[in-house]
Amino acid sequence: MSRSLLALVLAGTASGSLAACAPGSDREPEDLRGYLLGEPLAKPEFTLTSTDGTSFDFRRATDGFVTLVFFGYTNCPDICPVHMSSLGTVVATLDPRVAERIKVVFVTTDPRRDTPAVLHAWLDHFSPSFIGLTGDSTTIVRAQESLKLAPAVIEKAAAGDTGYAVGHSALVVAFSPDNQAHLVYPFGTRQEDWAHDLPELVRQGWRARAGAAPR
Amino acid sequence: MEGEGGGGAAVRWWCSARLGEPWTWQWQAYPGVWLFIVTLGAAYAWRLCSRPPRTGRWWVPRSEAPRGGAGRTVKEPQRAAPTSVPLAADERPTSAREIALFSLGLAVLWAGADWPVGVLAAGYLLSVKTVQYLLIGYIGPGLLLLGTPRWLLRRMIRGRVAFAVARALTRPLIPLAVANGVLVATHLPVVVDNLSGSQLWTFVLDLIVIGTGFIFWWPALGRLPELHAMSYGARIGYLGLNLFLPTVPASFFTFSQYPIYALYELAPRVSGISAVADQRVAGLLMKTCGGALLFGTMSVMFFRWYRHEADAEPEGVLTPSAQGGEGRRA
Repeated sequence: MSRSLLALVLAGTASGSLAACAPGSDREPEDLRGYLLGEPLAKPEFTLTSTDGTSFDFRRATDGFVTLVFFGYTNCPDICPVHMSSLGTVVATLDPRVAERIKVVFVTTDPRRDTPAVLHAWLDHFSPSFIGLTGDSTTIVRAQESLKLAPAVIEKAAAGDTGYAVGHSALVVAFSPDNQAHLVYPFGTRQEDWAHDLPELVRQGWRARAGAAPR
Repeated sequence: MEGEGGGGAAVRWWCSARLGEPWTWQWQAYPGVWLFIVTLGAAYAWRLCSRPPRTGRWWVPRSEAPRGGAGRTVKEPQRAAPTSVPLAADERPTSAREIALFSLGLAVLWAGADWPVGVLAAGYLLSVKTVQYLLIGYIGPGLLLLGTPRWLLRRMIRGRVAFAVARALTRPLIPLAVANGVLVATHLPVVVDNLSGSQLWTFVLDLIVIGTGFIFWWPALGRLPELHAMSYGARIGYLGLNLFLPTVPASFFTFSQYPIYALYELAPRVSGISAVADQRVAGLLMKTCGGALLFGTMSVMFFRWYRHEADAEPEGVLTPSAQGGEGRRA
């Protein structure tokens, strides 16, 4: 629980451009269930290592796709598996033509333990289509900062305990096909919310939506 | 009482959802559950130790006052309504079988309410909640009812008010409505999602489920003729109705595309099972295990009915022919 709170606090304080995350406040368009960012975020450029060991150019590889980015770690006991499980379930139930336009990218905040092989095995548990990225800590921290997310912090392990926890943002950043992130999804987003929003983002994109219903 | 903090250090008295806390197989103490079970057992033992009353009175409606039997005759049973009558002669000392059934019922309640089932059910897995419901809402109360001797049941409803309440609750259609109403109400998302984090509310809901179990089983297992005793056929029909009604919530669990409850959907995962898979398992458990329990009881009743009819069958009735299949006079 403390990690969840920490993650939310970190995300909230570091994300100056985030709209207030209160129901009904600045949510746009109204029929989407994510939380609208005050200023859209451009898709950042960073290159990390994918689970097959090859380098992954985030911006180029996800260009034009609805891209959901989440920073977490495979030993996470609560938030990460719930987010990934929710997304895995929903993506599997979507129309394949919609699902193939969505990329879910999981970037580890614990590169020491999350090797490409570990990431691969863990993500396959949720969906074989999920992309896992790891790399050096500096690049991962920069990637988080480029999305206005607070960098993850390693929490102290108890004496004699070889394990440790990593405090990280609980937000999933959603990029539309226009390569801009207009929405974020906090922990607590339900599967029915994902199932509602993802097809909308794929089919209409953000510009089309804005053009159809200017506010 | 609420929100004792994380880390599992504080002792909680009743199993409730530990919102946001990852599941751990480390044993946790729930003294409230122990106290509840010990109190039930102690009350039963105390009643057994105090010998069955040889004198005393209980309330029955005039129309159903026992007219004696086995050496005892009730005089003037229709003079007052309700009237008080001496103890019936259909009571026997408590048998070892009854004590064993009651003890087993207590063990089932304990297993269903205590760690780990109680905690998993309260906040982690809907499938375990279904198992818990079967344990504390059906199996446990049924065993406790079978293990309570007739004289003790009569003692429990000896007072005028207690008898009136018991009689009202055991009218044939009331248990059907109460049992299924509670089943639906305790599975409403607004109830599960909002109350499971509170120890007090979980305690209250568990008590309601246990109490409803007694009401549910009474038409089928109740042994007091003064409380709407039904024929074997009616008992089987009653259980048959209950066999089909829980199919509705079970179907929601099984066929819903996404999780129904935010509580279980957003809870830290246990053993890697997804929320949707957990929900489907819950639906299947409710249908198969619940159905097997009821169907098994119906089968036992059917064979008892058959034996009862066979024992009561007078000479000269039709019996199957050895050759033609048509009946003939024996």
